[in-house]
Amino acid sequence: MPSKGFLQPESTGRGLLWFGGLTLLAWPMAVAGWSFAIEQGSMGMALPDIQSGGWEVTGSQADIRPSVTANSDSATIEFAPSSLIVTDYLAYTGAEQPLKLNTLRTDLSNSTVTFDYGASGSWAQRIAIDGDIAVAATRVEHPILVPQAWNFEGRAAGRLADLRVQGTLVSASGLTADLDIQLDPDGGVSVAIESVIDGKQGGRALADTLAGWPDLLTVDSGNARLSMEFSTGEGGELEARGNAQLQDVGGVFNRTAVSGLTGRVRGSLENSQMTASFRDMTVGEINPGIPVSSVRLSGDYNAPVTELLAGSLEVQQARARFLEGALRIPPGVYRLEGGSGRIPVEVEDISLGRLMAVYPAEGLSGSGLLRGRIPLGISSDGVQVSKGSVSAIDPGGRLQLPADKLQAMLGGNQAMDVVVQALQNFHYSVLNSTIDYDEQGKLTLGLRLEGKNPELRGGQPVVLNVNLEEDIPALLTSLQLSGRVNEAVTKRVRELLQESGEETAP
Amino acid sequence: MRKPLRPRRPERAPLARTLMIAMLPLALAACTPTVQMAAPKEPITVNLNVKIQHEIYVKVDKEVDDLFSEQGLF
Repeated sequence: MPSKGFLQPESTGRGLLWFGGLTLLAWPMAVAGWSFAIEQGSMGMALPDIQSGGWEVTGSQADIRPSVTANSDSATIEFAPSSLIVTDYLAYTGAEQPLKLNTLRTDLSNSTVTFDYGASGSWAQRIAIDGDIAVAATRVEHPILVPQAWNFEGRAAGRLADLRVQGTLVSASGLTADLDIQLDPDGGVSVAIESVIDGKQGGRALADTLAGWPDLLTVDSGNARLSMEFSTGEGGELEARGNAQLQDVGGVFNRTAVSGLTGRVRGSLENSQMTASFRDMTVGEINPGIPVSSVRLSGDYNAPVTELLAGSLEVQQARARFLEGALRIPPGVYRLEGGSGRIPVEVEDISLGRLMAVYPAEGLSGSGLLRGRIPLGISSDGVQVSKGSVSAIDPGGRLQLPADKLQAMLGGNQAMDVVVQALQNFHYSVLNSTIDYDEQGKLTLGLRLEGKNPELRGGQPVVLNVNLEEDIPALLTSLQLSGRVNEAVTKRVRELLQESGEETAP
Repeated sequence: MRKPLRPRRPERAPLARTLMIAMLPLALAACTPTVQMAAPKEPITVNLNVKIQHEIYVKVDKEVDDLFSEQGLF
């Protein structure tokens, strides 16, 4: 039961309470050498709306149970359990991307506020908070977030000027993050967020929290430890750093299955420059229809924020297994400014037999190994290759293509008959090809084959110069539909085709 | 140690011996044109333009589709 100084503001009127509060602050400034204590009060009052410095706070109502002690130098308010401030609307519109919170319940139970009015300095340096804080908002809106309810539980400590708030943030969709906010006396703010995303459920929670999460990105397994730091200096310029420690992450991005993604990615945003560092990245398999496996990547990428694809890639290590051979990017620095820069991908010992086996047509077979170089260009329009080349390693090999499919493709004149017969069992000694690929997915091969079919005209040499065009997206779609990636991708591609109305009966 | 004795061949009839002698020049003569029929060195050269098109058809019976969606494969 409250003792001396007990107030019943609901019945006596809020004005009296405001008067008391103001007196508490103003009186000691005028009079020195006094003290008093209100051991526990119960106050209910409407707080004034605030519109200042980009902040907008409206419809606040306090229902608090404070114990107040004050003297000529300071006043301390301790909030007993069930001390609540309910705010209808809080927004910060001072930044490019506004933050809006609806129906905010701030529980101040077990916290203490000290007004050190006897000291010098700004009020922000003379008001201190210490204790537990719990905040719940029924709806938080920000351009990078999916609107939903959020809860925070933690502690606040320090003067308003250098206040530190630490605790746990939970979104309605289930994302949990540790939050650490540090205000700087110079006016800056530092925010650190750490979160562990575990398995499919964690991936779903993250996807349901971030507005920019791609629709076609799903995480099915593994875990990721994410940490992000944001800070604003005196000038208000934002600096951001992020770190992701990935462990055996698997999932599907668009139509590509990824498994066994492990390693560390660091990203930072400073002086309008984006930096991403990849350390000891490994990927078990990346499969858009033809698998690329055992990927190893270490490197750095720097780019201006305004042109993220016009940066500089420093490769320390980049290699992968592909069609029983290898893909490799030599260590070095590659500049991609204006989309004109090239990343040279070296092709080593690719198996023609394996290539024939994965091609979505029956009856193809071959042997021999290929090597070459594919200069890769990356721009906002997509991936592009210009003047790439591959050739077969000596002594060549064999190529066998089914007669019926070739005849259907090439037609039935005398020259084509020779080609069809030759390719039933073609022993090649030379296989060279130029490679070009455009942003629309058209692959153009300038292929030269030299060899013979021992059964054709007594093994007369045959030279084939083939200008071959292939639609790679259609090829991959064909592979994806035939279950070469996984069941989820097959289902996704089928649904996408059905939605786009491209499907027709043959 | 004595070598085992080879079984003795039966003696050919005089007519067979005569035929073998007669056949020998014929076989030699037959070999000669085979060597001359070796493949000519000039290659057959063919230039081609090939455009590969993938025709993709998706037609799933609705009942089957529902079955897969609701119950899975197993």
